Parts: sequence; structure tokens; C-alpha cells
Amino acid sequence: MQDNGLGKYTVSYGMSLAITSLLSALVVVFKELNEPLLNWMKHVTIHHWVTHGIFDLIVFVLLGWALAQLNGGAGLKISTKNFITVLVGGVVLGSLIVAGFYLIVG
Amino acid sequence: MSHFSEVILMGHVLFGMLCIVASVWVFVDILHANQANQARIRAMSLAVAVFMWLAYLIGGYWYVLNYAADKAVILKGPWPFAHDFFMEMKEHVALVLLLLATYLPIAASSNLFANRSARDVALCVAGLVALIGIVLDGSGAIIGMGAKIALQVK
Repeated sequence: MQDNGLGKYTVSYGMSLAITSLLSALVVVFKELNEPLLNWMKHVTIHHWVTHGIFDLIVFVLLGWALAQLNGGAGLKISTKNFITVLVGGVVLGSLIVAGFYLIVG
Repeated sequence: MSHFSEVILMGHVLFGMLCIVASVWVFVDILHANQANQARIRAMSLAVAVFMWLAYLIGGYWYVLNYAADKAVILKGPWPFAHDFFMEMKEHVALVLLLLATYLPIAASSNLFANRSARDVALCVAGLVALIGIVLDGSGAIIGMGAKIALQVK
């Protein structure tokens, strides 16, 4: 690992964004294929999509904060190239999983 | 006759478009990052996040309370894929776009003109916001067309 000159919150929330995007896509697949989970998400708030959005926001905020606490509070250390690959890859892959799922199942 | 639902929906489209335009602005400004435009990049990045949150909250309000009737119409019409694919995809990819737009001001908070790494990250994020925003905007148009065609066939 190397110091890339990026702020610790830029890295931690960027990584959190990539992971949350993938988790959100998995939630889409699981809730659409699992009726009890979908019903539970509908009853927690007024709509399963609202529950899904709140879940994403909580994961994004908490994971970003937690990753910033690593290495004695210095945050994650990762090269710029790897960081951008993970960030863009996570967002694009998460979006493609959602689109692909509805293209096949929808 | 109240047109509150239509006004709400137009507000969603308006703020979504403003989010896309602002993200393109940020993208171009980052390409020419210097000491003079740093404050503007940060302000416009914040504007991207604010516009996206407004589009999300207004669209979400409309979707949860009003979309069921449109959905029923679309599914009975000749373009059921307008809901089955485009709406389902749009409502879930929008959650990722919301986080991406929220992250942009964080990515733009670094010294962009002096730090190449920070500039590359902010450039990727602004570009993704614009690209995904355009895809979702086009999806919204197809959903609207799905409802219109279904009503014309009736």
C-alpha cells in the first residue's frame, strides 16, 4: 500500500460507496426472489423501496466512518489506481447487476 | 381538478436535469482545475448533491403515493417493459446515484489543482453522476411514454 495524497474520508467513503452499491444490488436480487424478505421490507416502512434506501444510507455512512478509523485513525491506505478501479467498478457493477436482473427476471 | 401530482413529477424531472447539468459543469471545471475555480468546483459539487437529494425526495414522494395507478395502466398497455425493466431498474439504480452525488462534495474537498490523484477521483465521480443521470433520465422518458401509449390504446 502507498500514500496517494487523498484525504482519509475521500478514500473511506469512496470504498463505502463501492461496497454499498454492490450490497444494494444484492438486496435487490434477494428481496425480489424472497417474498418474506420483500414483505418484511414493506412493513418496516411504508414501502420496500423506502426501507431499501434507508438501509443503503445507513450502510454508506457507518461503513465510511468505520473505514476512516482503520490504521489508528489514519484510514485506509490504497494506491490511486486501485482505489479508482474499486470505486468505479463497484458503482458500475452494482448498477449492471440491477439492470441485468430486471432484464432477465423482469 | 388538482394538478399537484403532475407538478410534483415535473419538480422531480427539473431537479434531476439540474443535477446532470451541474455534474457536467463540475466535470469540465475539474478538467481545467486551478486555484481560481477551486471554490466554484466545491460549490457546484455541493449543488449536484442538493439537486440529486431534491430529485430523490420529490420523486420518491410521488412514486410511493401516486405511481401505483400509472403502473397498472403501463402493465395493461403495449409497453409493459416500461415498468418491468425501466422503472424497476431506475428506482434501484437511483439509490446508487444518490450516494454517488452525495460523495461528490467529499471527493471535491481535496486540493484538486495541486493533487492529480484527487482530481482523477473527482473527475470519475462527476462523470459517473452525469452518465448514470442521463440513463435514468432517459428511463423516466420511456416510463412516461409507456403510460401515454397505454392510455392512447384504451
